[in-house]
Amino acid sequence: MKKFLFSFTLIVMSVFSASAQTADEIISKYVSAIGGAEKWTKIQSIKMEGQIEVQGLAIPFTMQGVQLKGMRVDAEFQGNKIIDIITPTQGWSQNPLGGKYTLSPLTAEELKTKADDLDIQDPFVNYNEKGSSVEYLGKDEEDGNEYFKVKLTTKNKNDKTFFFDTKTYLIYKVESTTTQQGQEMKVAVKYLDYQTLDFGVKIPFKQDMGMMMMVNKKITVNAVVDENIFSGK
Amino acid sequence: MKSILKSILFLLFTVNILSAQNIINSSHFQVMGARSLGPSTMSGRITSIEGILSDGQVNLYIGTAGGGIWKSQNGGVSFNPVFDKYCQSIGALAIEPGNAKIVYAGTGESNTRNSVSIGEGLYKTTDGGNNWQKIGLDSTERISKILIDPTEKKTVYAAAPGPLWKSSVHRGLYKTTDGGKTWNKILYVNEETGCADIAIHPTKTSTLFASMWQFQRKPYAFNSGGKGSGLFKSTDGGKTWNKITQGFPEGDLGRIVVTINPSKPSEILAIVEAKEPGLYISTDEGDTWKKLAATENITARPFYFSTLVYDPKDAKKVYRPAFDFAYSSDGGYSWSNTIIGGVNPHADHHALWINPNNTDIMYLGTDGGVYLSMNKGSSWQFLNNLPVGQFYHVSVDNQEPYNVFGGLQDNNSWMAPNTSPGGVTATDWRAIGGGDGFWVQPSLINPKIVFSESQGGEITRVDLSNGLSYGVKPKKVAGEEEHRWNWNTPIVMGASVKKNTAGQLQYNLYTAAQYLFKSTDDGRSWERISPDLTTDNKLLQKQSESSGGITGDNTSAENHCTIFTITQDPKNEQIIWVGTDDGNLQLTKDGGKTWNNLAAGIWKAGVPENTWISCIEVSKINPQRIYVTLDNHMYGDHKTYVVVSNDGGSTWTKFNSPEFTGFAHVIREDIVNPKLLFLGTEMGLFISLDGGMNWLRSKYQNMPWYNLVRDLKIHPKTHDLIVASHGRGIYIIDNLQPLREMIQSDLNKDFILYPIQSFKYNYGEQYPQPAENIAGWVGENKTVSPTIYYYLKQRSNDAVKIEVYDANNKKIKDLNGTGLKGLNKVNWGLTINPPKVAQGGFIAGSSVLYSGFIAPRVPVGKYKIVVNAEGKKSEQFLLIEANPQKGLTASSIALLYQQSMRLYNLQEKLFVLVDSLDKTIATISKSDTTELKTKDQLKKLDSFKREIIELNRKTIFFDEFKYRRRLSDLYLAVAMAIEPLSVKQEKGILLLEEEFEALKKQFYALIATR
Repeated sequence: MKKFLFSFTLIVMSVFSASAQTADEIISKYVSAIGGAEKWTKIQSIKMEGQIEVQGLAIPFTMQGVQLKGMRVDAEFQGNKIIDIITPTQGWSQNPLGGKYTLSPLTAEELKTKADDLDIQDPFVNYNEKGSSVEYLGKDEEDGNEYFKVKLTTKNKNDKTFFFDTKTYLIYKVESTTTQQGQEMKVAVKYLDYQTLDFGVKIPFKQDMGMMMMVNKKITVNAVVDENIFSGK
Repeated sequence: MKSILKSILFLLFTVNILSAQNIINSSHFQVMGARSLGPSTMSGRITSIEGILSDGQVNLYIGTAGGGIWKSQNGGVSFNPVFDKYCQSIGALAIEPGNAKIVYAGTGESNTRNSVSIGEGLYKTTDGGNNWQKIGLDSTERISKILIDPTEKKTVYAAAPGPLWKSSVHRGLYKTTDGGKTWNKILYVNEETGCADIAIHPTKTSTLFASMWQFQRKPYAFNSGGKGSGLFKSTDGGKTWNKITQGFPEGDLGRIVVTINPSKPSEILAIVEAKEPGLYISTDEGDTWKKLAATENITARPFYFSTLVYDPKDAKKVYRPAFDFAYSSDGGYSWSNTIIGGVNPHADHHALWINPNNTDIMYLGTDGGVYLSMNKGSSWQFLNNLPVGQFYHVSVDNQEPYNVFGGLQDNNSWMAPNTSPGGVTATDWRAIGGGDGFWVQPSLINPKIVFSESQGGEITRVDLSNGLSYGVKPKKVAGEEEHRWNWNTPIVMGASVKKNTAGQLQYNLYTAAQYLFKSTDDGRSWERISPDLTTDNKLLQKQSESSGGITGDNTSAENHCTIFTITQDPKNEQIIWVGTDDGNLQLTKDGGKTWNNLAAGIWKAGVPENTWISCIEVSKINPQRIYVTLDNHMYGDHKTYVVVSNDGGSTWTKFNSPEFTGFAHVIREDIVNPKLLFLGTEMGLFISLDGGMNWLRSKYQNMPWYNLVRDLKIHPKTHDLIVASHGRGIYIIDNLQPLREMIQSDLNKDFILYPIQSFKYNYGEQYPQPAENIAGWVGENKTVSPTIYYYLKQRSNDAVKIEVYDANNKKIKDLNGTGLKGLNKVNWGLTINPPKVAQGGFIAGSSVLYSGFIAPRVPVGKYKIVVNAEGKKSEQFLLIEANPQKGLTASSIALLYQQSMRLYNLQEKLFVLVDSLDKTIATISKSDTTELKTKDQLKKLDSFKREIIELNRKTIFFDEFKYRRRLSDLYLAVAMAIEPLSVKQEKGILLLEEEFEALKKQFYALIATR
């Protein structure tokens, strides 16, 4: 009898949880899985060091950000300095290999696409206050597994679809669509190797972009970051 | 005791396979993705085109007969498929006015020809096609039009002609007022009559017109028109309707097209199928009608041509895309169909979208793809980028690379190599027959002889050596009834080649009407080797008198009581199987002398009597095992029927699976592992890993989940699976071996690295290639490199790393692996890790930059591959062999490797030298630089560095040749070469080596002075 009751409860529970799943529930479980909103809101600056790996090549990079003020990536390939800077109003990039020998301003479209990166806290932490909206797109099959799909539209009007693991609630994949000259391009990134920092937040240390893998070696939260590095000079 | 043990073992084994099957779906071998070969040069039937301006760009959504929905954001310059997880037959599309992201898609085409597919409801996207949700009308099977109220966008109308092959209540006009959440049927006549067309008044949107259409098909005839048909008008948004009669023809009507003039909404045009079909006009909002003069193109084939479009701005301009493209400049009173310049659009038109911002520009959807006009339809160009052709069958030959052959619905017969330098382009496809194409078969002896056909058994022998095509259709002789040739007449090869009495090679070629014919001389002469093998039921052969209904339409498309499929036993030419469209399964074991109908055994297994036999597959491993697929959809039954016999056809068992959807077209057993089965239906490719006990849908093989799979072949040499789709052209899944390995392994293990197939040195072909601007759709080539396969039970949460070691156990290459659940696949391009290249200066666009990621290729030999996954290491050996036939001998590869490694080592030595030089300069710079000696030394070091590194180069348009650049040029040339340098040329390496030694000495001298 007890056994019967137990399985009955299980059925009821699973039916209940399946039907009551909303974007906010998924997000709240996700945020607590990555350390909770309280800790995340305390992050005001970040420094990430690692390398981009492309079939036997390793290109070292450093990423530095101050919450909603600036974000800068420096990478170096064979002595060529590749730089990306964004601030709330302007952005610059330099890539000698692509013909940009010095820091050149980003177009408005490029800046809009990258502007979300200024939020160094997780985009789902207090997403409402940040002016973002979410929509639950249902469960979907991806690589043979089931995921909860949630669409996030940021205040910069960028749409991203996040795939949440139905067990761990961690993000497995992000699909974003960038638009240039009215042409949409889909970019997919898979998050791997989640690690908990001493600070108590959980971050994926690897981002798989198909042809290349971004590997973080060291992530420092609330590091001292000189805001002059965002000046574009 | 022994037998008990044996049965326990057997049980364990079975359980293991079963449990493996249960945990497996097609994502577990997603790395076995299909290559899509097209063609786009002959596209397929387009059913709907809708467009909208967004971000200053013309966004287009194209609905197709069997290839899903394609989206363009640049006016048709390029397209992407956006509906690959759902039913591929599209009836209608609608974009919400003013919002390019909201699109409704009705599945199930309504150009109800014999080969039309079936839909499964209505879908909606709110993000421009990235995500779709089903919003109802699941059982309507076809949706012909969707209209959104331009003033109240949550109000949407959907016209459903409904099921074609049976009576049904799921048809009529449906309406939603909440954006598709709930639907009401607002106009319904009877179970035989659906809604074919709707029109909405552009400003008074409660005024609507709906045409109701009585239509049904049988396998042997169709009937368009009847008491149910008629045009209806509502002025209250569909609450009440009045049937229009004033001025309309008397008697039963058929399909009616209706369209309202947007610039002058009181004016309405309608094409009415009637005993005397006609074009009608109303100038009083549809209350009274008057017949206009009309050409044949306006009124012909009403069941198939249902498009009539007003110019969005010009009240006098009307377009009638039908058999031809006709246009009127006086509101429909007179018509012309003259095309000037450009190409003639493919015949048979079903969709037209006119750019409202520039009405000169229009997109036309035809039976053969999309055409674009910039001058209101006077001239056209073809969009060569939509691979949505509808193949019926596919064949292959044994050439290298092998060719694929097949016939396309309304788009001729074709052949193309399966790989081609730069990829298989539109220009690689060559037509080898006209009309509708079906079976194409290459001769088993002569690679220059190919058989193709057009509808109704018009078989030709094409001689590629002289470019001539010879008609070889068997003719009626005394004692035979009129031949009945199926629309899709089989042309089949006996599997084996033998010598005739004169010692010449010959093989059996078969074709069939109601009789089976055999030829051993390339179709020059035929021997009838059977009596009428069909039921010869005269009631099912009346198409010539009755087909078409009111208008009359009698092509060979409805020929019935014919032979549809023929299979000769692969090892015994005396054994021939024949399946007919009226349900006979005939077997001869004496080359046709006597025949036995085995169909009753199949019916006993649970298949309805007289169900159309679509395919017979005789196992190549055990000739007693025969599979049969059956198709009953023409009697309104879409179930998937597949049976197997293990006793030569005496008894049959039906395969069942909850995964099955779509009527069955074809089944193939793997030529190595008989547990591996492939089934093609109207709604997908299904795979069984356990001999048919369980089935899974192919979702992750880079094809639409509901692909219309008409034919399958396994290439006897390469073991590729070739898929003929009826809407997306040809697909090839290369080499089934990894799948065989996977299903034989213990899938409960966390991580398995499979043995690596040895690799024969080779390169992908580079030339000749067509000009890029006529390439059209380009199909990927086979990967030419060693391939590492491993299995992960769960998706890896960390990166998988792969290392390659040479014979001295030295690590030579790092590769990033994938962490997918199931089978993973990593190609190794034979290169070692790239060298460290001396740094400094501007290197973009120069060989110096490329030297940093291009590396020498390894010599032949044995290599150890280590895969690190899930915290475990696993290793396998890979044998790389020479390929002397291609000029790639072991010695030439070794010499090339040795030469490139000399330059590779020089690069690394130079890196160290320049690094020390930079460090020295840095150190000295920290000392007192005002001192003269220091100044002088820095100057010397700087000028020394300028001898090595190109420091004057600032842009890619400035070449500077210092030592590093000269080294890099030669390094790249050799590392990327296919042949080694000659003895004389090799001296160039020595020169650089000597020069390096000199530089080194110079450097030592410079720092020694310190």
